[in-house]
Amino acid sequence: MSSLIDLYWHIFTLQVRSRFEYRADMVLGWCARILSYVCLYIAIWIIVERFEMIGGWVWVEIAFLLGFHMFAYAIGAALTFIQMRQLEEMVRQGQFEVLLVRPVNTWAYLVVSGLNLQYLGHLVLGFSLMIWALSNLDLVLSPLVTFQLVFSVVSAAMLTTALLTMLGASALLITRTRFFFGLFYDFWELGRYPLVIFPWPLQALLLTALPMGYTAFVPAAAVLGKEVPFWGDWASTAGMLAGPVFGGLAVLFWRFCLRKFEGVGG
Amino acid sequence: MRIFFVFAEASFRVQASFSRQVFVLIIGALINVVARVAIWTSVYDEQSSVSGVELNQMVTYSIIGTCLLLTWDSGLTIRDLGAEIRSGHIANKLLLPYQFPLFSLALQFGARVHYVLTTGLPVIILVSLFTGLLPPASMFALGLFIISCAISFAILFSLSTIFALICFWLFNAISAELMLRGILVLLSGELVPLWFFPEGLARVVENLPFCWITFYPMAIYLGEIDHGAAVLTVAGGLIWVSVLLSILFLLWRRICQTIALQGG
Repeated sequence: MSSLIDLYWHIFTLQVRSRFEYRADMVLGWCARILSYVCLYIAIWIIVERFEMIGGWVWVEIAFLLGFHMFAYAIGAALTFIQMRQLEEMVRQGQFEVLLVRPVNTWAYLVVSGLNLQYLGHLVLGFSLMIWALSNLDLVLSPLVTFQLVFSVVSAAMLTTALLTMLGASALLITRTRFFFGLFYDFWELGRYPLVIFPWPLQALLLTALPMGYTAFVPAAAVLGKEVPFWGDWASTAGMLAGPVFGGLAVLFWRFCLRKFEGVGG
Repeated sequence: MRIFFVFAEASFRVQASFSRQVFVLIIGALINVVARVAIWTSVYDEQSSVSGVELNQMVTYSIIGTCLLLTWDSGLTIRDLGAEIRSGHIANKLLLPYQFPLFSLALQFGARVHYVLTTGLPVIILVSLFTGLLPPASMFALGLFIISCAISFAILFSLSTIFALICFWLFNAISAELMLRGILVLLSGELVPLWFFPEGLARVVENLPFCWITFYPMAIYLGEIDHGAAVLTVAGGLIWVSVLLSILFLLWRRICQTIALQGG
């Protein structure tokens, strides 16, 4: 086990070193990502500034939601996004079979070898926004609330990882999955607004089959003590359990796809 | 000109060959429209008018803005060109017996027409069945709106191609794409029209080319700009188109003179 961890650590350090060979490119990427999201957040701020609130959430609460959404997503996406999106190409070109004969866990190898440091920009932005919002909110960070917040972030990051893994794994069955990633982000973007503003069928969808509601809204609302449709007082528990539950489903789906994989490239 | 339409038609046919993609694009457009309509419905709450703009005008702004004016994935131009610069395949484009920006414009035009016909218009028709989509303020407004759509496309094309050409120096298409996307979200009026901007910021933004992409065409459609001012606005848009196209072609000429190919 320890030799396996050493191996993954070694792969990870190689990945970091190779990325830092192009430092200027790296810094430019971080700045571009931060600029892109800052522009979007300013647009949302303008709406809240003019209309005072969105769905009963004032700016500082929206800022917390945006920060949470960005921070948790960045952790999950750094681990899986590029890797899972590239899986389609690997399958088509027959490169995935090469991974299968290596004496390591395929998913873990993909994650560690493709860890995306470009998400550092997202992490810094999300974390800063969360800290700023927390310092301006009338919220006492008791040990219980801190525990809830940390576990909610971990759960939301796990959920992102799980969903992206399931999307990527679909390539092993149907090969072409690129369009689904576009659709994933269409739904993911809904997670940066209070869910209560959407029609109830969409709210139900985002809390069940397409669980984007748990990527930020449910846990953030639970921490802030805001109303959560369907879950009510159980929102905090739901926010902390969504990640592990969908993580478990993703493991089962990944294994199922591996069993069914027949290879299409070469 | 004939060659332009041949390439545009070829691009249309390429897009048409991905029939399954249309279904996904329609769902994506529907989600975007529903989200924007939900935001405005929520923030208007029970107010009938804010800054002289009514809720049904904002709903129309969101639907048409999302389905017609924002339909073109401007990032695609940057990504495609960035990949060609990195791989060195851009050399093939330099050998073509016509200007590459015109070739690119034809391809984007074909793809845009395909999107509007297969996704944009069907989504507008579908959504208008459930929401109160307003008609153009007048026939004159409709005429100027159609011209504004062409200006919107030309400005978006010029900006994205200029950002794409910057990849010759940056070698980082993703960063250029993200920067442009961020700028457009804020300054084009894509999410928030200039009516709701703080006054100082609005005064600066209204003179930049970005708001001809979404804000001005929709303001003309809704009749929020009177006839005389609308004509001047369209004229301003045409000036921006000529300025941006000039920058684009100057940039392209400079690149052709100094290019050092990477990759291969």
